[in-house]
Amino acid sequence: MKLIPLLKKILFGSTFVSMLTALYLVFEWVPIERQMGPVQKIFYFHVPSAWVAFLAFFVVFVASIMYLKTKAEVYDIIAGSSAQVGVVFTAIVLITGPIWGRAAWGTWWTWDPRLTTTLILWFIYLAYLIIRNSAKGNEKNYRLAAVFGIIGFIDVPIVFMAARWWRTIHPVVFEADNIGLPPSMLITLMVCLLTFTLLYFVLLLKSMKIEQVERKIQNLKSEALKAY
Amino acid sequence: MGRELALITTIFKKDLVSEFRAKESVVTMVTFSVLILVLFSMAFEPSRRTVEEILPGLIWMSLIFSGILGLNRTYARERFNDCLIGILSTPIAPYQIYLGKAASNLVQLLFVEIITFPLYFIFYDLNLKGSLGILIIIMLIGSVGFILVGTFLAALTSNLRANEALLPVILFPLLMPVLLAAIEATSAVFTGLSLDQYLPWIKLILVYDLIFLVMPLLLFDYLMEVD
Repeated sequence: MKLIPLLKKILFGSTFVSMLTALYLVFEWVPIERQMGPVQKIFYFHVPSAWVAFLAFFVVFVASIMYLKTKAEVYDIIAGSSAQVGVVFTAIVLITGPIWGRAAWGTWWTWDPRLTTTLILWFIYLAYLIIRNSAKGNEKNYRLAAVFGIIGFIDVPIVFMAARWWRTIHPVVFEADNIGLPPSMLITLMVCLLTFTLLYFVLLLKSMKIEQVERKIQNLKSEALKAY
Repeated sequence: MGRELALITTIFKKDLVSEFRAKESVVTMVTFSVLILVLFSMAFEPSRRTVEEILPGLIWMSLIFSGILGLNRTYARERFNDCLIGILSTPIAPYQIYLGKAASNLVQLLFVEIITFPLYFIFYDLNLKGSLGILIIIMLIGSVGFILVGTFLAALTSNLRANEALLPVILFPLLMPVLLAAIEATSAVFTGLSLDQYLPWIKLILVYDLIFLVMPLLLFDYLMEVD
């Protein structure tokens, strides 16, 4: 039983160390990009946030299926917590993207497939959280949230496909060309990806803990009411 | 198979008959969609040249907005006297309820389209450059996609607090692909592009229809489960 707290400590500790390393690499070690200047450093937060968001929504999808299959409360808690973390990181993506875009492209927003899909994704999981919030304390309603978690995830690839065709039929303003990254930037990006992934799990655990405590309090309250 | 169909049509007929008697949603839907049409033409005051660009979007937006009204009624109707529990205790399976209700919603929406569509041509003095047959097919398959997702999510929100306000919020993000495809295809027909230029959009709508026919069939039981 001692194993799980130990693993948690290791996770928190390694997140802390890796976060400091990532910050050092991004702001001190990696050279400033010649064309774009310091604003390019947003990239090291933007890309890992996008990765974490997709990871989080995938976890929602899997946990929702597991919840419908097993009816085990823990899967519902995982799905709900992961969606919260995912929405926060999608918001980070949507905020950092335009800041960079303004400097690099000269415009805040363009209806590029990736941007469009991310925005719709954000709306879908915001809707998921709204459903889940109005579902508090009722087991049947957690099932509704799980159903939406599955449907929403299935919809994402179709959204991307539609957005891509939309932009290929209309003129494409900005071509997302793949620039080969120099090694120093690649290393920094990799460390950032690792850090954000660790951070995701830390936030997921914290968020799950909060949810569990909330439910416990709810149960105690209703028991106390009954006794009264 | 014949029995399956009979059970589905039972729900379908029941919904249509009760709608026909009460006339509560269709009348509102038609009025609302014409009203949107009038308001939009005041808001944008389209000239001859811009009308082809904005009209496809306008047609679909007005359909979606008025369609929401009907979708919200679908399950609200069953709330009195616990009607839904009554239906669930008959031999009709949940997915058959879903299909029956989707079919009845589709018929109501098509009814709205048949009435409002000629009005677009009159109000906006439109002359169609493409084929009318293809336009009708696009309207039909686009409406099918909208109704399939809409009927499913209406069942979901009918269980929640503040459900009438909630439905558009959870439905519109999911509708985005089919809406975009339908608008693009409609506008291609209006401007008279050749079929192969917008065939991908039609295929996308069909794929969307298929996915959201299968997903509800797999998941609808979970929405109807009674504790």
